Formats: sequence, C-alpha cells, structure tokens
Amino acid sequence: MNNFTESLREIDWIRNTLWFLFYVVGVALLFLGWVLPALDDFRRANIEYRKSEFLYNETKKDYDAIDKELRDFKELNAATLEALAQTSDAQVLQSVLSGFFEDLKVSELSREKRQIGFEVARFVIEGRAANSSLLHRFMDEVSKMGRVVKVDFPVLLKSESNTLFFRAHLELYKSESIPAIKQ
Amino acid sequence: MGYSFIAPQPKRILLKITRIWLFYVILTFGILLFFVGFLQMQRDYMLKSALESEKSKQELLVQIAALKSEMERVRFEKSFADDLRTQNGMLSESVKNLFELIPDQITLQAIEMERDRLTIKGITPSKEIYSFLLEVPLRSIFHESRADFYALPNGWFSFVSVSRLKEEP
Repeated sequence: MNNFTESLREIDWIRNTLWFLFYVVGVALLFLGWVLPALDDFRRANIEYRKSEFLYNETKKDYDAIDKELRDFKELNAATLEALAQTSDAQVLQSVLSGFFEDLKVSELSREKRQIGFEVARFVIEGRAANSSLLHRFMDEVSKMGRVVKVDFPVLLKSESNTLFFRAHLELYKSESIPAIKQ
Repeated sequence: MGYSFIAPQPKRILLKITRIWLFYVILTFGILLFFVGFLQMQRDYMLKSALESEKSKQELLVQIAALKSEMERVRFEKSFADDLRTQNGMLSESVKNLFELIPDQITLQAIEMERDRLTIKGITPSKEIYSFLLEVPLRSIFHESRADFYALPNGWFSFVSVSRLKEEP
C-alpha cells in the first residue's frame, strides 16, 4: 500500500493529462478527417459494387434463359431448320422425286434472293404417275423430303395412255441466316 | 572520489513518460494508417470489379439483343415452313376433292389449276349430265364457271370448263 501511494506520487499528473488530451484530440481529429471519409468512400464503393454485381447476375440470368429457350427451340425444330439449310439443284430434286414419277424432268426456272431472307429456287417438274394415288402420295410427302418446298401453281394433270401426266412448279426455300448444307 | 551528492543518472532527450505516450501515439497512427490503407485497397478492388461487371453486363446485353434477334428469325422461319406445309396440304386436299367431285359418267382428260382459275377438259355423255353433276358443285366453289362443248361423232360432248375465283377486295 505504501509502495502504491509512493508510485502514485511519482506520476507526473500534469504532463500525463496534457498527453492524454493531446492523444484523444489527435485520434478524434484523425478519425473525423481521415478515417471517416475513407469509410464513407468504402461504403459508397461497396454499394456501387453490390449494385453492379446484382445487375450483372440478373442480366446473366436473362441471357441464360434466352439462350436456353433458343437452344430448346432449335433442338425441337431441328428437322425444319435443317431442311431450311439445304441447297438444292435440279439434279438433287431429280433423285429425290424419281420415286414418285416416271420420265421425270426437272428444270430450274429461276433462283433469287427474297427480302424476307430466303433464297428461293423455282423449278418446273414434269413426270408420269402410274395412278392418281401415287400423285396424292407425292403431294402428301413433298413436305417430308428434308427440304422446305412449296408446290406452286400452275398444276397440270393430263390423262395420257393409262398414265397421269403431271406438271407443277416447285419452290424450294433456303434460309439466308442458316449456314448452307451442300449435298 | 565523487564530487556530487547523488549518483549519476543516464540523461535522455525525451522523458520516460513522453516516450511512452509517443509510442502509443505512433502505434495508434500506424493502426489507423493500416486500416485506412486496407479500406482504400478494398475500395479500389470493388470499383475495379464494378467496372468489369458493368462492362460484362453491356457485353451480355449486346449478346441478349443478338439472341433475341436470332430467336425472332428462327421462329419466323419455323412458322414460314409450317405455312408452306399447310399450303401443300391444302393443295393436296384440293386435288383429292377435285377427283372426288368428278362424277363417274364424265371422263377427265386434263385439269389445269392456277391460283384463281381451274380449267377442266373432258368428255360427257350429255350437256345435262355435265350441268347437273359437275357445273353445280363447281359453281358452289367458284365465283364463275362456264363451259364450251364440242360435239363428238359418237354423240357425246367434249367440253372445256373454266372456273374462276374473283380476287377479294
């Protein structure tokens, strides 16, 4: 106890108090003038960072959803889109249609690029079918030939010595936006 | 032999208490300096990341626009191909219906179909049979239908029937 009072008596209270005041005021000034603005900057940067991360994540979600939708749609309609990518000439058409007609003649009338984004090749086909059911089968299956085809007017059917002469125009469509598949 | 009443003490520039307080002042300043430096680093990192995120977001938006445009195009192409299939189906049905329309008494020689016109050439035993069995259904389908007859040596008639659809205004 005696030692303690002696040590207390040895303390320079005035100098200590002055140092304490200097320390407190110094730390307060440093905090207000230096740390607080830095904290404020940090807070604003953090808000900006979180906002941009949130927006990026939402945009990424949108992108993924649209990308998936497109991929699913393409997968679901792969046959149609593949048919639209096919380029055809008279020779190809001749081999595809030879199962339906005898004495088949295919000639290309024109090939043009239309504004709606398709290359349209117009052909005239002539041939003889043994009976009308073969003609009906052709008409029914023309859309399943792996190409996008339109049977167009004029269509001529003529009875010729127990066979049916058939002449029609065919329009084959190829998409300009899908890379071509050449055969 | 000593000349002083007290024992010699080492002299220091700064008092002990000053040294202790200075140590804490410097320590506190160091801690604050480290803290502020850390905050600045984090702030710089976040601002850089935010900029990169913004850039990536803009790139994604461009890609989204391209995907949407592709989606629109692919949907249009699919619906276009479906329309063509429907038109082919309708034409096929028309030909089938036309064959069913022709009565057994009438022999067909040729049919020519155009967008708005149907020409039928054939042989009929009499004009009345043509009128009752073929002209009536043709008139119900087309806006106008007329036929020219040519007498054949066996008493039958060869006919050329032209039926037209008027264009809708």
